[in-house]
Amino acid sequence: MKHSLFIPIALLLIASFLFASCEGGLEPPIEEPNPTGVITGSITYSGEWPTEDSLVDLRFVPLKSPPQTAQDIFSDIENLVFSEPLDFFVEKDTFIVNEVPNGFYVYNTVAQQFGNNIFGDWKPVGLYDQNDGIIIVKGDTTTISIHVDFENLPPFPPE
Amino acid sequence: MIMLQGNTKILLLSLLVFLLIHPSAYSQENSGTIEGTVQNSSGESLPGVHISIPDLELGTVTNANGQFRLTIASPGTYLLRISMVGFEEKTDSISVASGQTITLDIELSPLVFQSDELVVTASRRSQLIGKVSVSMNTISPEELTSRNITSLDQALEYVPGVQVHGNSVNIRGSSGFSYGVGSRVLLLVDGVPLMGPDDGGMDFDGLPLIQTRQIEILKSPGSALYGGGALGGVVNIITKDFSDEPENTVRLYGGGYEPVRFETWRAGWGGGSDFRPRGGIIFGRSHQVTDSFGYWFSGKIHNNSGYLQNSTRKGFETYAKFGWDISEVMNLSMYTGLRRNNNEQFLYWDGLDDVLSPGSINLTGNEASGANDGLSDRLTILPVFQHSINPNIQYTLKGRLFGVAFRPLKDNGHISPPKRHNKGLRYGLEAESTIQATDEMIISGGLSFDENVINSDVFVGEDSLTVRNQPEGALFLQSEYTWNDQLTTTAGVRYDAYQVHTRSTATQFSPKFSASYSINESLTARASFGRGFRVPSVAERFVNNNDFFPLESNITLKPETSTGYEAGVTYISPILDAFSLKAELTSFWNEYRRLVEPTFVNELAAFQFVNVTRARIRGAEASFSVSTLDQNHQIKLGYTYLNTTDRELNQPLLYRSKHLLNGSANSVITDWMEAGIDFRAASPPERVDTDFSLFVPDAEVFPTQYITDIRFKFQVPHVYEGLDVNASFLINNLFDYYYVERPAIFAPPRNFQIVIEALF
Repeated sequence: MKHSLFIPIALLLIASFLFASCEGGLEPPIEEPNPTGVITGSITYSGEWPTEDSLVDLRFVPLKSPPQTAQDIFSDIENLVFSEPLDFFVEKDTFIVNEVPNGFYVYNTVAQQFGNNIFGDWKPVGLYDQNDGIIIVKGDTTTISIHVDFENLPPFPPE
Repeated sequence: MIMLQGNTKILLLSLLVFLLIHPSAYSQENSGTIEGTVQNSSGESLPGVHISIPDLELGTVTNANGQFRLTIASPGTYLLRISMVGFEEKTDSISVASGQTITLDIELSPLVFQSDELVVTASRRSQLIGKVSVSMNTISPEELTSRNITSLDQALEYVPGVQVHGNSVNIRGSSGFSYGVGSRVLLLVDGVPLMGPDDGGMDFDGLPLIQTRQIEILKSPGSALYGGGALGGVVNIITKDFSDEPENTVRLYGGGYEPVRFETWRAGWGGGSDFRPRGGIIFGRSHQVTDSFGYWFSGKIHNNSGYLQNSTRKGFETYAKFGWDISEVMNLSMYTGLRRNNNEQFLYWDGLDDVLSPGSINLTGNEASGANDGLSDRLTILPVFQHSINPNIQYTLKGRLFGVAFRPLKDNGHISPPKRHNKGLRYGLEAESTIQATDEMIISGGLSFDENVINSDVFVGEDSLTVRNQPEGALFLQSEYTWNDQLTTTAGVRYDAYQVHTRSTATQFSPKFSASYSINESLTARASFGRGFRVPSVAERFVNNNDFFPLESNITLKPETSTGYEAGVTYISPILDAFSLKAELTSFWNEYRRLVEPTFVNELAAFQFVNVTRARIRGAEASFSVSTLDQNHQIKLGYTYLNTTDRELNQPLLYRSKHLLNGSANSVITDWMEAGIDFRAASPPERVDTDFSLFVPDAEVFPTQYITDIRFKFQVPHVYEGLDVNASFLINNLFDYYYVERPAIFAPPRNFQIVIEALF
């Protein structure tokens, strides 16, 4: 008889466990480890292209802060993203940069590597100057256009 | 209309006065008298008991103090019958001689399947709970002890239809969430209101729970009896009588909160990885020293490290009550309480990814913080004088003095400058008389005056005053009529006048009517109607502060009102000669006007308390309990359905759950061991304040609540002569279910307590 009196307690315990198990309750939001977006764009060129021996590499690079030196481009190398190499001696080109970390990119440049020093011999040749920059939010794709005038290069370091 | 001549008037008046002064003048000299008192098995006086002598067709009913008096014109030997619904009838042969007065002390036993529990909150006088015509629940001292309840909010969480949102109590959806400001449930200690003079809120800590005989919860508007604040219901703490033999209690408790299981939350605050201890000591003594003098006192010292960053709580509190029977008909008692708490208050989190840390709001350039630290002092003095002029007429004078002081603490622990302190005082007096007008009718009525005085730099409002007072006065009258053994009706009215602003006074007229009808021994039907109101507190009208939220004053706030209707049935019956079943079904319908709710006002870029809406709350409540006849094993279930509507927006009211479920089971397994489980669930609110979510991340997140507590109690009687020891082990939130009770505040994770209690 006395053991049967445990039945209400046991039933309530089982029922409450089932209720609590079915609903997970509060938990931290599940986020992607590194939420990213995409930047695509088109580039138009004007002016006389530099000589071939000073055209080691040419890429689009989005940066979260304006670099004061070429080395600054690599200061946050873990989060540094850039396009595949761009074609030389063309009038226009396109690019895509995948997996751009979320954030506000204020300095978006077509950068030319003009020497063999991979960390030092870089200069901007064209800038995206619309909307004060690019905001990347998880999953978004942002499309931009940049004009490069080899006879009117942007100041570097920026003013 | 009959007009009386002057001499006739004087003659009749003289005769009336003579009869009142000399009731024996009209009794026959050779008559006999039987008088006495009827009590229940707990020694409490039973009102409304029928005393009769069938052979003489003579009878009476016990008064509010359980007393009766029968005058027998023809002395002799008769059968005396004592009866009351729910109790075993008693008959006894009694012989009365001419001129003889026989005094009887009668104890009635409840029918094995019924309760002889008495309540006082429903009509300001002692009544059997089965005869009450409104919805009520009670919490016994055994329940408080077995769950190691150390504050009132913990006790109320187990009552069907009641939710506790942090420091707010919500009875059947009457309240949403407002950080405890402007409670719609009135807190009483022995019938005396004990609401914060400044914020009109409840103080959950400052109550003598170890010396509590019973907590009564009235779940419908109670303003016709108790005035403002009882819009959604009443919670009444009934303190214990003094113990005939010296009775000492010492209770030690300790335990703590488990670390949270998510690394993300632990990363936000290091304390989330630790076991967070809490504990305290509670002590008390009660003694009826002489026939005329008794006292009890109790105290608590506690420290709780808190499971959230900036949520430590520590302090002490002491309470004392003495009673002095000045004569057989006069009694004076005095209750005092003193409490100091040093509490850090966690107001809102930093988001769902960091629930253990307080957030911040940067709205006006002045960054508001989601936590504060303060020193809170409270002093309570409640003197009561009772005088029974004769067995049928008594009056009571109740005084109250309630002082509060809040002083914020700086980061270094020092008290902030005086200009940031809040000081409040509430004082008042109430006179009430109860008259047993006839065997069938009890009339009670009285008047009261109270005043709140607040000195604060926070409640300055638009008129920049730092000292405010809010006087209020009331007249009330109630009549209860017992038509026969089955039907009792109660009608009452209360008229309140409040000064709500320096030059304006608001008045409220609060009627009530209720009826209870015993269909048979097992089934009772009841119905009631009542109006309630609440005058906005000083905090709601005058607060002007940016420390925690951007808050703006609103001196044009008007009182909110409610009209409530309720009908229900109670069924009590034995099952299989082994169990007792109690089932209740209640439906209710409440209409609210000018409901005061905190609202974000775009033009002010701040929150403000405003009269927002007309609202309707309808619902039904079902509860049943089954227990063995010896009460050693029982199970209780309660379910409340709420349908709330903001009638202007045609949307559900903010922060109200649609479904509430409570369950508990308790079993005395052996002479020395008892086990119990409590379960409560609430569906997520149908609507939350999206404006609040603009400032506090994830404030709209409200999962379903499922909370399970278990407990084990071990009793070791007579360890030494006169010493009994109890030990309890309690686990709250057994399944470590994570939830919120109020927006943006993480509710306690799994925590446990070990309690050791010595009684000697």
